[in-house]
Amino acid sequence: MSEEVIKKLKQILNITFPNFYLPDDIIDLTIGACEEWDSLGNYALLTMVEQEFKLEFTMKELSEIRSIRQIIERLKND
Amino acid sequence: MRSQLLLVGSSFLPPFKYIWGSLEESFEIHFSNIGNWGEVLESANLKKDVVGIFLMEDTSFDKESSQIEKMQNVLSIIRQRLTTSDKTFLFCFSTYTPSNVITKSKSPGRLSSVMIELQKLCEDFRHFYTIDLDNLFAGMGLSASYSYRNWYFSNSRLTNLAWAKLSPAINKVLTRIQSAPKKILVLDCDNTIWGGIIGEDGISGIALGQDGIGKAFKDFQGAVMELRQTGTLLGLASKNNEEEVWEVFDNHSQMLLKRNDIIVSRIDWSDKASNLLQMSLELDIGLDSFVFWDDNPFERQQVRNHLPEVTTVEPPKAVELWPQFLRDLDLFSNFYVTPEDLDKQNQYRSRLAFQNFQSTTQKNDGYLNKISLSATLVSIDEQNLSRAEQLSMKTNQFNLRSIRLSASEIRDFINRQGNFGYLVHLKDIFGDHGLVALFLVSTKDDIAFVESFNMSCRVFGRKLEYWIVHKIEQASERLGVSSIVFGSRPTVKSGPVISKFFESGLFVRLGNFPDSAVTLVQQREYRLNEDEFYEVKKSLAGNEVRGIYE
Repeated sequence: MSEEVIKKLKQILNITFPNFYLPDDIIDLTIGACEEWDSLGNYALLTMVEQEFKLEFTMKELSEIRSIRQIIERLKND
Repeated sequence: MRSQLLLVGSSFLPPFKYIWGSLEESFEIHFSNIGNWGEVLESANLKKDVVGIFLMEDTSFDKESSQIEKMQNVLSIIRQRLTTSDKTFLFCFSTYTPSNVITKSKSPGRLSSVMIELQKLCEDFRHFYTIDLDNLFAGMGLSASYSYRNWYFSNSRLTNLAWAKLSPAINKVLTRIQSAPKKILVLDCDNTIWGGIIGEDGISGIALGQDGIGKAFKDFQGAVMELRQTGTLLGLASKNNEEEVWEVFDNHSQMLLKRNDIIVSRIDWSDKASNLLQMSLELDIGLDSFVFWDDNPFERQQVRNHLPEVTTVEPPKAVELWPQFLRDLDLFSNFYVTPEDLDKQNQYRSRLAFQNFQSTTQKNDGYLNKISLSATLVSIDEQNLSRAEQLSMKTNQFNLRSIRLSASEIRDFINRQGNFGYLVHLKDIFGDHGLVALFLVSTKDDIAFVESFNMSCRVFGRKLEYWIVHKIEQASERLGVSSIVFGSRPTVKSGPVISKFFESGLFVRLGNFPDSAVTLVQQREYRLNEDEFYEVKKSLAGNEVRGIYE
């Protein structure tokens, strides 16, 4: 996955979870990585990803995608 | 300290910082639980301002009543709340429901009862405001604003784009309730109100007219004139030869702005920040009431660097976008336009003429005898209550106790036994200045306490404040009062003016407030322990204004 995409994902994580001190490598981050990243936070994260990358998750994807790795996989399929 | 704000919705309101971050700078936000709208509002803390977000489509699965009946029920509950709480209620509503062109083709007025009730709520309650979501989102389109997927997944119908539009709109309305609009728009000339450079292109070479880019500049002038006509003052700050600029104003057939529309100008080769500062001093308007528009990024940055209090607009690069951009700024917008607002330009011209007269006549007060000052007390009623509220909310300098009272609070005050209050109308040879002062007095036993006293800075220098003290004395005597007490709670802006007022020789400073004058409830309400107190020396105010006022 390109550096540009990772950079955008980091920005989205910063906006969605402003109190989260992001590691350099975000690939393995999942729901629960910080206090704000609960199910509601996960929904916020995915809607921000939709807006940035101009895609729309299905309801099934909103339920099942819970990690950065899964988001990246989804972006590859778009 | 941030105010408390309760967010209530007909569906789930996502509590995400990226949605509400800008509001959180001014408000401590609380989210209500989703539930029956009525139960939520009826139980909601009456001491919080409320933003209610209601989408009629959210009620589509309630089969017990029609959507319109449901909406009417919501408005009825809101009316009940507005009656019991004077906290702000901002109602953001959508009446959109999916179209069925056939079933709706014979009922275009089906929402009229709802809209009529909304209008009545706005008229009956000054603390009720609305945002029409369908209108707000129209530019984006409904499919970009509402999402069935979001609704089924999270019980929240709006998209991120819709939230990004709504949250700032809510912030704008709530901010305007708490702060005054800007007062003056200062414009550059070259490539701002006309295309080209007058010094190089000449009057016939500038772009201003019926076609192309010249039409865009003319339409921009039109948008500026709309502001002028609702009370915004206009100024010019241009690096040019003055006579060349005025030649365009006076002689170019496509100019909408005329010389008489400009209240103040600095057309010279000085830096614009210095010129803006001079305008501020000349008009006695704070820099934070100025908006500056210049096509040149260098000039804009210079003003930002030196005068950060001035709002320096960053206009779009494309001039054809300027007219709508100016209209959308909302920096000058207000909920009501009073007759005083419409006459603002004349009022400031009168003030400048008075200052000029003052500086050219003799230094003693003899000049006040020459200007035919005439002041009258005006009873506060429903027609002028908005002006009373404006004076209470917006006056910063001559505001003795820094108390801000809403229209309903002023109404309640003057209706209480033993209380009285008036607006003051002023005119002189410089013009009719309108309603320029407000005072509210409570009485108990033999003491009158001036709860609130505000006077517009436009009429400083006329001893009107002493005329008002004299009138308070006369009214109090009729009520059997022997002592008139003023409170003083100065701020950074009001301190110098208030000091001068109380050091005029008409007052004696008191140590403590005479406790018998007001009830303990009133003491708590008006935070009397924060005031300094002064008693009026009898009859001196009348002597001060004898021969000056008719």
